[in-house]
Amino acid sequence: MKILSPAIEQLIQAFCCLPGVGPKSAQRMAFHLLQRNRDSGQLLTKHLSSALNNVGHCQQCRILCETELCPICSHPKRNPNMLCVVESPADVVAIEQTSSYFGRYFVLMGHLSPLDGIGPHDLGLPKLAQRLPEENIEEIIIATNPTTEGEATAHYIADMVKPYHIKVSRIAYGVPIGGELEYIDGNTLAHAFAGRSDLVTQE
Amino acid sequence: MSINNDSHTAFVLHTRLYRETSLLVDFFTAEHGRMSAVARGARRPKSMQKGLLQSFQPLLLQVAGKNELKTVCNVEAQSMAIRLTGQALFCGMYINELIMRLLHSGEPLPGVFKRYSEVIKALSCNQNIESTLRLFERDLLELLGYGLPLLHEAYSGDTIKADNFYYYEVEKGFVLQLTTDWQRQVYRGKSLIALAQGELQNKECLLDCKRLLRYVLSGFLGNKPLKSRELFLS
Repeated sequence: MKILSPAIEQLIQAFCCLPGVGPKSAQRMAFHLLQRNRDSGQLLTKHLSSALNNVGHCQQCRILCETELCPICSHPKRNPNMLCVVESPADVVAIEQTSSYFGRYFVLMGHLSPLDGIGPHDLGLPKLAQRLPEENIEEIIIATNPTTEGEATAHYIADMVKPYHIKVSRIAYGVPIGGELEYIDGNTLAHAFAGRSDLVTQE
Repeated sequence: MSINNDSHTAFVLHTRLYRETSLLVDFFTAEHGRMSAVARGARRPKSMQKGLLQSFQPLLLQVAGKNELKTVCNVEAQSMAIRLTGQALFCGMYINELIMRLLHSGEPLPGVFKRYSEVIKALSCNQNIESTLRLFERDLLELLGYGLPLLHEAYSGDTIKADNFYYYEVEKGFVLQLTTDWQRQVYRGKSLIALAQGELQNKECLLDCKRLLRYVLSGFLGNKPLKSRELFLS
């Protein structure tokens, strides 16, 4: 015999689709909404369905948004000559929080990973290739993750951009702020040494 | 859970996200061939494993578990990561895909592992990438028990001659092309000899061998083509 009625069971099962939510947490969420917070539940339904119905991809940078162009792409003060390529919308948020970059983005929504069946076409790279001759881009900063797949993606984009004589740079690897060299893994340290920068420029 | 204290020398072939903070890793080990294991907590912000569980990093691996899916107990770097850049990196990914597709889980193939380590090191020097790949493919087939009979004609048993043309018949070998049926894929005798001797300097031979090995490998890969080839199209 089932203890809970079908409507509640279904709700609990539906909550399980969220990352990090198992049956126990799902049950807690369902009971919380039904017992104490029905208004928030209504609001959640409204926003969830409106987001699911309206949110698509920005025509230019592929980030998630409900308008044709995302706020960053349509912002008049963002530098249109700089393009930063990232793997996910979360990376855009992380970079934006540093307030150190004022150009535009291109979001791949993943990285090249042949073993997962993800090739250049799944990342919208033909779209990026199409943008290169059309726009006056001066620099492309590749900010994919420092993993094997991220590196492969970076090299693929660099090869793609080569014929257009646009400056292509890759974000630096290095020692985290407040870190101690002793505890840093050898590969990061080796990269940090290879990518060292001058402190004093000789005239 | 049985904990085996033996360290295996291993490489990571592929990782997938698993639950909130873990990774499902496909390893290629010297002693046990391909092996899948869960690396618990490998994606936590302070995990030291994250940096190690990357392809082309020689590892010392300790696992536990009796089932096919093991659990990673300890993982250490055996030496510095082998750094592949540009084309060589794509080739490395191609080799990983080949290994994933052609080797069964838990089948110990120390010979393949040895060749794999060699070829990854060779790729990092970024020289003669094409011939390195072709020779690896040749040896991989050989070590898996599907070696190509590159020295003798299939029906007559005569030695392959440099000036003749041959076509490949599955499970038979190379057959001398006598008719003028040029629709068939034919290969120069000298290319076959060069492949057998491992001396692929000539561009013509390299192209021939590429065509041949691609055809032979496609027989083992079924109707799902290798995705990493798309990386080379640009």
